[in-house]
Amino acid sequence: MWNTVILDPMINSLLFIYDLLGRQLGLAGAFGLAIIAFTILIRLITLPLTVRSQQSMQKMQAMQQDERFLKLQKKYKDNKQKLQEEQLKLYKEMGINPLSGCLPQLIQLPVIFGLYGAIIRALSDSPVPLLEFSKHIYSSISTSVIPLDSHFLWMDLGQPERWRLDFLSGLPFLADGIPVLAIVVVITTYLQTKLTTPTAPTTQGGGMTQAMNIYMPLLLGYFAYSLASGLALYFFISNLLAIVQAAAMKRVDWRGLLSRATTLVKRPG
Amino acid sequence: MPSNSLRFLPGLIALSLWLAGCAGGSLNAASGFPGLTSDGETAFLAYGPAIYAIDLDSGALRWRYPAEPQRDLSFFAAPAVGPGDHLIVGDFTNRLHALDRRNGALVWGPVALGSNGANKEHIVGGPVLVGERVFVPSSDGRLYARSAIDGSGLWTFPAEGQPALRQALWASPTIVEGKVFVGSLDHHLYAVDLESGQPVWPEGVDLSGAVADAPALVGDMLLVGSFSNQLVALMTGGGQVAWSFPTDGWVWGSPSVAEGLAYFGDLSGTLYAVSIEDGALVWRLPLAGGIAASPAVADGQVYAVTENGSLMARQASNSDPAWQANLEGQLLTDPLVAGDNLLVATTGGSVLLSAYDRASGSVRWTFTP
Repeated sequence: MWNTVILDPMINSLLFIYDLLGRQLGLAGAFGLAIIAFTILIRLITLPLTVRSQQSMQKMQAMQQDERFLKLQKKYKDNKQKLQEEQLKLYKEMGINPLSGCLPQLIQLPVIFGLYGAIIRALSDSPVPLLEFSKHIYSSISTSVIPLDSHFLWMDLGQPERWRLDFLSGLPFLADGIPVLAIVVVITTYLQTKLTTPTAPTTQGGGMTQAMNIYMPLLLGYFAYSLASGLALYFFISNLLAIVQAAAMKRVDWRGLLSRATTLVKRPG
Repeated sequence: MPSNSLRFLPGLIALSLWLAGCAGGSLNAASGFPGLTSDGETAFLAYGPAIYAIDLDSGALRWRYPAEPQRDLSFFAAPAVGPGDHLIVGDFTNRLHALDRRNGALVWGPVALGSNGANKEHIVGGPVLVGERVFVPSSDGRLYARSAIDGSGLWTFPAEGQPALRQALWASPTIVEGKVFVGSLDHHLYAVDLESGQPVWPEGVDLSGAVADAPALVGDMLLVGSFSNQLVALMTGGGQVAWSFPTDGWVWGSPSVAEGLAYFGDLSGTLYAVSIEDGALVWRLPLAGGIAASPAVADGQVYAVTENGSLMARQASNSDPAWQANLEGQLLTDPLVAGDNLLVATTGGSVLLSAYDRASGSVRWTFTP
């Protein structure tokens, strides 16, 4: 089921794009370019979901100023369970999904998992993994693309990325090089979540959104640091596209970048 | 930090561990096919943490190297027997070891072959001996010629200072008349001078698909399988294509040749017999599992194994069944004829090596480490 629905289509999409860019157009670093093109494709496919969830988040932001919401907060301030029940009723009434804030991020998880599986399999460098990989390839894909060239810029996309500098080789914690892409992923994930997520209300859904905003940069940064750099490339490009997409929809909150951090620090409880 | 946020922390940690764990599992999976060879008295099996020397009569373990598993030391390439009492083995971190094949003692090594700094340095294809020289294909994209006496370097192809081949060498070389022929995953078959390591053909012959196993030599022709769904016959002189035979899937293993026919399988699960004269099909036999290993041929029978654990003996002339057995695990290693025994190595089963009576198909012994 997982292979049929997620993994195999991803592997074959990547191979198709790789073949097109590398063999037919003769571009160097075709697998890296294939990952970038694939990321754009995923962003386009999930665009309707992203738009809907951003609209929903806007509604939630507006709801925080709604008189009924404020009355509920006051009325049930000592009964959290009842407050949640009443808030959920209000969400329903106003057509709001309280979990929508983190939905675009959650939807990334099967994509991340599938893409990682696809990259690792596609860049198999020993016989048993390559043999297993061969079973995932559709008959319509040209066998001449096998094995793939894993090099893109300074990276081997099947290995964790490190930028090696000779003068740093003596330092114990940087002997393997600087994890440039992991750092970039943390920064862009933070920027993306801060710039594109409106201030969350003090509800369960809002709490989860805030949690995702805090932990997602660290989580993706850890993955970018420790797993194949092809996946880190996906994170980076995906973050850039999310910011561009939100800017195009005029939903980027540049001011909120700093002010919301301050709010979080000052907020009681 | 907002208190609401903390509630989701354990979930996110669990999720990340799950993802990292699953991903890690993919990275650490078994890497190579077991490598198997024999000197007529002992079978030498390279698989995972050790080289096992197994008595051919009884299946008893004579010795293992190293005696205890060592971190980052694993073996998959078939060892080379000789010179003298030596056994030359390549490990999965691109190093050569020479053992005394009577007792497994280290004679020289380990000797590192090279470093491309990309964590892709493995010896997958078995070393090949010619006199006191050993020729070793490496995943770092080079073929190494070394002294079998002390491991010292003779030459590398491509030469040191020149870029390595774009892809790995997994195939053992085939050596004839002063030339070393080696196939690469970069889709090419290369011919190299035995003495100097200089290319004999200015560029390799492009086969449109990766080459993962050694070419089979038949007179002045080389038969080479490739992932481009074909078996190609090339002239050893200049690399001209004599004929090619289209297949249903990738041809991973080498063909085996007897009585004017070449026997080989493909990953779609078809076993073929074709004429070596012109590549004409003599018979084909669809099987239930993919065929990655080279078949063995002896005494009018062809022995083939499939990925999903089937071992079969067929009449070589017409594919009529002789006997069949089903084993636990995958069969990815070339079955090996050793006297009256047929040796079959298993991947992922409880038994690592089995000896079958070639005539009857009965099990003589099994070996489990």
